[in-house]
Amino acid sequence: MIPFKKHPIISTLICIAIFFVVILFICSYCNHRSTNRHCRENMNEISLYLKEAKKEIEVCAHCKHMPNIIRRNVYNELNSLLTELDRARNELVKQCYKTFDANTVTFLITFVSALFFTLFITYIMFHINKYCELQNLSEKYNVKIEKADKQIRTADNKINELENRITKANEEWNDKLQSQEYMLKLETERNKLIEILNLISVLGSHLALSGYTIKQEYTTLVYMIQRKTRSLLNEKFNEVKSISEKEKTEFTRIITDCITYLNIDNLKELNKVGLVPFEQLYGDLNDIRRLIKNIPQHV
Amino acid sequence: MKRVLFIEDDGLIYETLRDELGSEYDTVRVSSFAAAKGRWDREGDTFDCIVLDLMINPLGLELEETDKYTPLFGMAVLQYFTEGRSEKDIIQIKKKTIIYSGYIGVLRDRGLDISNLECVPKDGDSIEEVVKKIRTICTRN
Repeated sequence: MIPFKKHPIISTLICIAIFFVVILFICSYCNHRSTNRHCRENMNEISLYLKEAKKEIEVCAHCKHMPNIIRRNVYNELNSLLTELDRARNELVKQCYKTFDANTVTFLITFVSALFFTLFITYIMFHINKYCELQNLSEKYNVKIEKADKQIRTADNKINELENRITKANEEWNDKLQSQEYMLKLETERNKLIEILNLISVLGSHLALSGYTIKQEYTTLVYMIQRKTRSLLNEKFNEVKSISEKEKTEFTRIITDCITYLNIDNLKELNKVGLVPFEQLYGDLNDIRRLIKNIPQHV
Repeated sequence: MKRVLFIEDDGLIYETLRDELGSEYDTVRVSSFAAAKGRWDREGDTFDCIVLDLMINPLGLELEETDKYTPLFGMAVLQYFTEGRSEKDIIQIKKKTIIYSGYIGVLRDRGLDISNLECVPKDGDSIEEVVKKIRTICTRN
């Protein structure tokens, strides 16, 4: 958990706002007070002057050395002058109140301005705070993303490692499978040869028992053997791409045994008829031996 | 129902042909000379078509005949079918016979008479051709 960091501009703004509002308030207050005081002083001073002027005029008006008519005129003039002065004084008082009111309004406007400014500053601060929070969150998420990336990288590495293992295992499996397939094919071919050998063994024993005289019933056995040999010759050991020396020797030994058990020289010597199928079988067996010899040999 | 005689030693080939022909054909299979001879003696005239493999079991052949026909024992069967028949009958029998074998080349090399015979060598796509020929012969007869 990362602690919330306050943006440095917020403190500065708060200080500026407080300073500005305080200064503005003090200035306004001072200005308000001094203006009001000056107004009151002026009014008092004027009132005092006017009162003194009134007294002097009243003194002048009561002077007995002046003829009555002049005195009355002066008195009337002084009275009208006093009335005007009084009116002027009233006007002054009125102006003074107006100035006071204007000053108060100015003060209030200034105060409201300061208030709005404070609100504005608060608004900016609020947004800066939000910005800071978002930045903070962004940093947190970046940290989390980095952590997640690291985990993903670790997982990827493990997956790659597993894939490599699987590939290796597959290769090993394929090798084993190929080897097994090869062994199976080889075994199949060996079985075919052994099948021929078994049949020829039976034929050979019959021939031996009859003193190598060909009889009619042997032709079926020869035909059956020949079906096997023809099938082998048609296939030409296509499934076996190469063969080891040991296996080749074994295959050659089996087919040689077949040729030996057939004993064709003896048959030729002792028979005039029925030789053709035996000769063909002999030819097939020799062809198979040639095919075995031609199979490529591996170490 | 048309009857077809298969002289064929390979059971798988026979079953494939029988399945391809379907139930509208009555098929009979023999795999040796002796069996073919016996079947022909009993119901030879009832077959509309004969499918003949050349290398079949020579059981029943004399040693001299074996020497003569090896490995084309099927020709011995055909010889038996046509033996003692009139020229017209022989042609008739040959016209309804299809030689289906891997030894067609050997047959030609030996100079044996293959006139009026249908010859189909055994290879990858030959089953369809044989079925087609069987249907043609059966329709004709």
